[in-house]
Amino acid sequence: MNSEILYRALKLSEEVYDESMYGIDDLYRIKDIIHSVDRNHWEGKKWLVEHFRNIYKYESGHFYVTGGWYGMMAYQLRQMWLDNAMNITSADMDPMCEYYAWKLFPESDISFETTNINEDIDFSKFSAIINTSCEHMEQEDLVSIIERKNPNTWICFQTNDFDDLNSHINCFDTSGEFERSLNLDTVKYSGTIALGGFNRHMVIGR
Amino acid sequence: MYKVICVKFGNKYGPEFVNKLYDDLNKYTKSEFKFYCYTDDASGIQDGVNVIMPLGRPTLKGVWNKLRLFDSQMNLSGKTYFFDLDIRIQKDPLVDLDDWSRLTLVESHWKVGKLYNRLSNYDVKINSSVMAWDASDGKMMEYWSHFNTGLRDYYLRKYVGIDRFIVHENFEYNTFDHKYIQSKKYQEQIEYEASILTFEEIEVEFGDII
Repeated sequence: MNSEILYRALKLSEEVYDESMYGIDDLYRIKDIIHSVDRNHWEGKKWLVEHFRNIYKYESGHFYVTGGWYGMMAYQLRQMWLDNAMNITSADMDPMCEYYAWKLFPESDISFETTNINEDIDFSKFSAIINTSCEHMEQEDLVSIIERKNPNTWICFQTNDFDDLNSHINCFDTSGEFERSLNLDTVKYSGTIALGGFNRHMVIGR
Repeated sequence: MYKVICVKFGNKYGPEFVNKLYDDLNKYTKSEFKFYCYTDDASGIQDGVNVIMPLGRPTLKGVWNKLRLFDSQMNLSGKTYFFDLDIRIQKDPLVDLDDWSRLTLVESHWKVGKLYNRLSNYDVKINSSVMAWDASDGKMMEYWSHFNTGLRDYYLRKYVGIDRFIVHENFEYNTFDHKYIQSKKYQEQIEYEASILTFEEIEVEFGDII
């Protein structure tokens, strides 16, 4: 991983701590930011961009990352699609994600925004919709994204089998089960990687 | 009339825990009450218990379903008590509190030591094994509305359960009189008879609460 990103994560942690001394006390953000740059997250997202690069061969378009958290997924997409003809948006419903993502990935030519996917988003305009946090999301919402997208829009979704956490409300035992739940017309990739204690599943299709 | 509700989600506790709680209330209390169970599985729950099936999205796991009690869709009203399923009733627990304007919780006064005095301490000295509130008071719904925002997933990562959510999100609350509760783990012998015996931090089997 790029050491500059880790340095920024450290500086952000300092900022969160300083804020806790004089303003909002939310030290858990430090732990959350550290989790977001964890090796497992880096590897899972690298796995996605490497596979998707072999499928989506154009240099232009618009990638929309839902559940984008602090922006790591969008950053890795940008590293693979360097041309500014490729628009990349990273959205999360947590308003603080937008704030921290700008700090972690400044000047990355990524648009970070706060959005609830139940809002009126026009999913038909994107070249691909990427979501690496499907385990946190209602299945109904994932299916709704697929129903609302253009038939040519690619879907790159990841979930995992780590059911022990309260925030993991949509886990799957296998990538096959996850693939079937999405009911895509075409599946170009469906697979699993072991990430130290749990498995991450990925489905790419449209 | 009091409303009494319990929550049973998943397979940690069977219907016998719900039925035992209902039977014990009938045995010990002199007050009129209506009994509810908010559950994803009503099988085995006896007549007399008013079952409330899951209210739908958002999907919640385990103890977080307790926070749903403060959703206006729950349609509770008036003086309401909640009891965890892993408690034992020892005498009438339906007490008319002096102040129903705030949520009342159990104070874990047995948690002592320097750790609990730290400003940054994450653990808390209250627990929600028993709660009482006025469900007709609209401000009680703030527990649910505060949770059910864009920060919901963050709260689920940040807090292991609703006790820490309530304290660290700065909600005001009252606590029951210390003599109302006995902790099985921390208060083996006490000189009074508490209404409720709680089993926090202990794995409970049905035989323990009989």
